[in-house]
Amino acid sequence: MSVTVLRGASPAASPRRTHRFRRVAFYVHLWLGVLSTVALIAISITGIALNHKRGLGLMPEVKHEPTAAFSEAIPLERLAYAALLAAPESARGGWKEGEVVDVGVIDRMDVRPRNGYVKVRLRDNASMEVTVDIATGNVLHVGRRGDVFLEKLHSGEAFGGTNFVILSDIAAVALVLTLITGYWLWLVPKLSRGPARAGAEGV
Amino acid sequence: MSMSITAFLTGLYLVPLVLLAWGHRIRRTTPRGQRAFWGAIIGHCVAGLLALSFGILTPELWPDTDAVRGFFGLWAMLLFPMLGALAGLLFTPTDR
Repeated sequence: MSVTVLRGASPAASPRRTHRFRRVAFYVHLWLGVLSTVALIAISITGIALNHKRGLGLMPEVKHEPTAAFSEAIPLERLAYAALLAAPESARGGWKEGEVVDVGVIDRMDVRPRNGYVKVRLRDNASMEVTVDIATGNVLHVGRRGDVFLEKLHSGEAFGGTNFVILSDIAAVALVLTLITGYWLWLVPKLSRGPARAGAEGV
Repeated sequence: MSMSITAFLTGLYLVPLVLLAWGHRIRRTTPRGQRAFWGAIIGHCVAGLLALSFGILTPELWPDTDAVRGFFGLWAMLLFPMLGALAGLLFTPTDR
């Protein structure tokens, strides 16, 4: 009885609106899903690779214990010099042995006092990284940082700087909308079927 | 924005948009149109895989002089669907 009264109170406007919503949700789901497929696959694959960057060898792990107290560390300029000297010629820019350290070719220097080394990352295409002992200046490792490029590809920066992060933003918004509309498309038929089934069962 | 990046963005977003619009009521189009459509779809799928593979493998920025990575990474998603559509048009049997 109460079900009949409620149905009488809303004269078929609600089902029509629900149908319209479902139609919009379906097309949003379809169009955004197709449009963002390639971008989302790329973002997902690069994301998985970044999660496992150590296992995949994209980020070299150098095991090292400090050889002296941190207070005895040699100056940053000397460490950078040692790193540039050990780096492949293609990664050094125009820098040559004996010249003053060119800070333009150095991206960053990541000092790890507990490990006793500094990671000097260069600004070449391969993001070459040289690991140097901060107490002795000995080069411990020279290798590429593949994860730097994958990070840029993941965010969209690889296509031309920070403005291009809009690409991954668009893909993320598309994914969120696709998920919400997918959920809606799954849930609404169940909700609308609910009272009918309940009525058929004689509740 | 360089020509390659424009081609890449066109292949990434505009080509799927065109394919979606084209695929709407595809069953009502001619067999040639259908073949061209499926050719373009296959072209875009293959191009997406190639772009991803060439983009990621050797994970480092590629210089402008690297024509192979530049072609597959940036141009393939625009050109392959066109080639696929063309192939679909050319190889449609006409004697039926």
